[in-house]
Amino acid sequence: MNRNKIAPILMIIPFLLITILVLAAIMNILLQSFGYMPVFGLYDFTLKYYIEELSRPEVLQSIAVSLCISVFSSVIAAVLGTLICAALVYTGRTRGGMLYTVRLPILVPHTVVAVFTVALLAQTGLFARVGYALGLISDYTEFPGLLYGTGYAGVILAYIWKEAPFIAYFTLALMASISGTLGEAAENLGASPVRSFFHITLPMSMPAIARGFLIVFIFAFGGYELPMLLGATLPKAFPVYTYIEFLKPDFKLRPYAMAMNGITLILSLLIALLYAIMMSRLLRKIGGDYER
Amino acid sequence: MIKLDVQELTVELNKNTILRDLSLQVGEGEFVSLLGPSGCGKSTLLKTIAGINESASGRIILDGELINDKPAYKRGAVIVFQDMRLFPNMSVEDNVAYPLKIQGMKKAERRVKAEEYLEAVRLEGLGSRRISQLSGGQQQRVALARALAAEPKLLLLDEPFSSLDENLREDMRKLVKDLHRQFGMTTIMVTHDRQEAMIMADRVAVMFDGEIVLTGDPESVLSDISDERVSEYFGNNAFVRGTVHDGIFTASDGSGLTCRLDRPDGEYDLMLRTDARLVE
Amino acid sequence: MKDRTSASSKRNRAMNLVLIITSIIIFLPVIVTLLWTVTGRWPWPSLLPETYTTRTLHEMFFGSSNLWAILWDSIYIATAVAVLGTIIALLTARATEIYRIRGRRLIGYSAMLPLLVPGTVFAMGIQVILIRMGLGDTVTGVILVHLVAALPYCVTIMTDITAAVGNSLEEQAQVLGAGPAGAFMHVTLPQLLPGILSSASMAYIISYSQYFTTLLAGGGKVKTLALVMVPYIQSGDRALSSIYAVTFVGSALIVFFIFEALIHRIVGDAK
Repeated sequence: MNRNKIAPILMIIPFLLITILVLAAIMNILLQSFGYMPVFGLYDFTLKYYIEELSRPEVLQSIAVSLCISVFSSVIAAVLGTLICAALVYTGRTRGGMLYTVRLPILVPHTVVAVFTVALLAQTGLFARVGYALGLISDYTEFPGLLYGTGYAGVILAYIWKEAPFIAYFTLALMASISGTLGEAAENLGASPVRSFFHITLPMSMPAIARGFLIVFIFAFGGYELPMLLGATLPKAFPVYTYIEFLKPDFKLRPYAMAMNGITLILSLLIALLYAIMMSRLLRKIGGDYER
Repeated sequence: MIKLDVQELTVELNKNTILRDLSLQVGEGEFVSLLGPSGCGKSTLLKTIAGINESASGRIILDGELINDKPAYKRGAVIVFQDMRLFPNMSVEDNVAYPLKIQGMKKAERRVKAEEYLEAVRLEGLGSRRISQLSGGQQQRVALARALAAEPKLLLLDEPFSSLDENLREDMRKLVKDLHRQFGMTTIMVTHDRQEAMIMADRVAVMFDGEIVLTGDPESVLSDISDERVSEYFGNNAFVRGTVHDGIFTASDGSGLTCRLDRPDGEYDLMLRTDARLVE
Repeated sequence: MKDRTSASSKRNRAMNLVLIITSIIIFLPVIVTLLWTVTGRWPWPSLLPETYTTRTLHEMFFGSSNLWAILWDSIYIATAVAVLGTIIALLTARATEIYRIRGRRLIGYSAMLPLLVPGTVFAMGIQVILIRMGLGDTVTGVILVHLVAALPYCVTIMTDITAAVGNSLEEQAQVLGAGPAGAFMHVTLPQLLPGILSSASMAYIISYSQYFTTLLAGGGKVKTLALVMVPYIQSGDRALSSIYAVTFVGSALIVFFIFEALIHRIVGDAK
């Protein structure tokens, strides 16, 4: 009996150590962002850094840029991902070659996605060349500046390339099983495949889609590589801006960078909270027994 | 009048032949039991008639119309699935009203109709419940009501009582019989329970290995021993569960069957041989 | 299949079109990048390169660059993360699913925490802590940080499969006289193997892909493929950055398909 009590505790220890590491990092960010840095003799506990950061227009602009990137990329990725997932389910290609194709972008890291994006979307990239060949543009300067521009279109498209397949893959198992049972039942009762999808299969697949959306959203919001490699010099995406502040050698400036991290952290957790609230409503609506 | 005419139907799934050259005719308003061991293709036959599975060859004619190429949602052959498949994202009432909604009926009208069907399955007043708040037996009735609401040309019951326990099953059999009388719907019921098939149906079709080997009224099917597989399947004997007390066996199914049995007290399955066969 | 109904074939045509477009969009940049690796000259506005060369490729792999050392380090780190992440996840899953340890919900939420804290935030927060632990700019520090990123996926996969497999067979083996360790090794482990492999492959890919966390935990001293290719992308050298990209994806895919093949073999055997 005793063994049965001690064994699981021993088993959970490595996991707890890692979790402590995460919590320690969060604590460190929060403490420093309040100005508490005993190593440097700073024992303040103040909201001053947050207030100062949030009253700087560059910071607000930068937060807005990052929110825009993550909202646009994850909403479009969720819609396209759901469409791809439905296409996989309705054509019965839930395994094999097509599935490996869809999984490919999930395996490709963001740095490589940046290389891919440049190859296609740069003003001298493949799309511009095709546009020239078709006579749509007469010079590469006429091709829209998707990269390095303030619109961050290239960054958003790059995220969509990677995250739409992620959401499709993430949703596939649930949607396939719903479609094969409840969706089939709806068609049997006289609903056309399109109606059966929108009345039954889609609402019942929402938990997986929403969860995938949350992961993608937070990732894009806190992502560094793509906006750093493909984004504009000004305004910068918030994580890029934060890192520049973080690199400043003067330790007295450190709390400012940490306050910026704190803002990202708090916004991310707020979004997660919003998700949790909406999810519990959603699950109540579609019947908790299908929760997975 | 012939309602459903299945001619030389062959169905293949994943390159296995599930049904081969199967033919079956069902008359208007008839109640047919499809009896056979599990894996013989009964459910596949229902799904193929309903248009969920595709046929490799053969003809399915419903109301004189060849429906092979009709998509499932236009066929009007509604299955009550073994696992019920109620929509958890809808209330009980919305489940029952769903086929009516698809047909474009107005909301107020739908509500009245749905309540009528719920009354028919004796679930009046439970319309606003969630599916998860119902018992298994109640869920089965909702599934029935929903299928009836679709006003199917053909009602297909796929082992509808297999998930229920014995006493509930008895109630449901009676309910389905009553509904059949009330709505007069042409019905095919799949089952592997011989007794159930015999009690409920006007006609019994026995299936083996993707073929129908025997059809006829319950009495004649039971006494037919021309097909070896059938008589083996029926085993020429039956089991009756009951208890022995003081050397007297009493059947626990309430049939009143008793006999002397020189065994210690306890629960027994009594095997009845062909010559002593008991049919209700 | 034969006898497909006309309505379903029309619907399938639309859905197939979606899949065809998806495949094109997925493969197009891969193909263009592959072309770039052997491109000599590709001036505007030609649709295909004007001259081809393997000179850059040759230089990269057999020249003075230390690509092989970097590749080796990347694989070493990713393998360590795959093994450790999967072991930790397996232990955690057994504690929650088999031993039903108290606080399962809390453990479940904590496991998802790294998904809710952006990697950039975590990396900037952990850097000082790693330095104080004496792990700053070390491979160990990098592995730890990658573990955090990989663990949510590993724990999800292992929890699902542990719950599905259960321990009834293990108990049966123990009743038959096997020791607890033997029962686990001989009975449960083979059933968990597909989950273990997919958890390991997931962790491997995640570690392999990390850029920012590696940069901060490794302080630029621990070099992985993800790290060294960035300057080439920034400098706009398409041939070199394409070679790195292809090497990167290629080496990750090889590992991924080895894992996939193993999973298929095991699942196939089990049937």
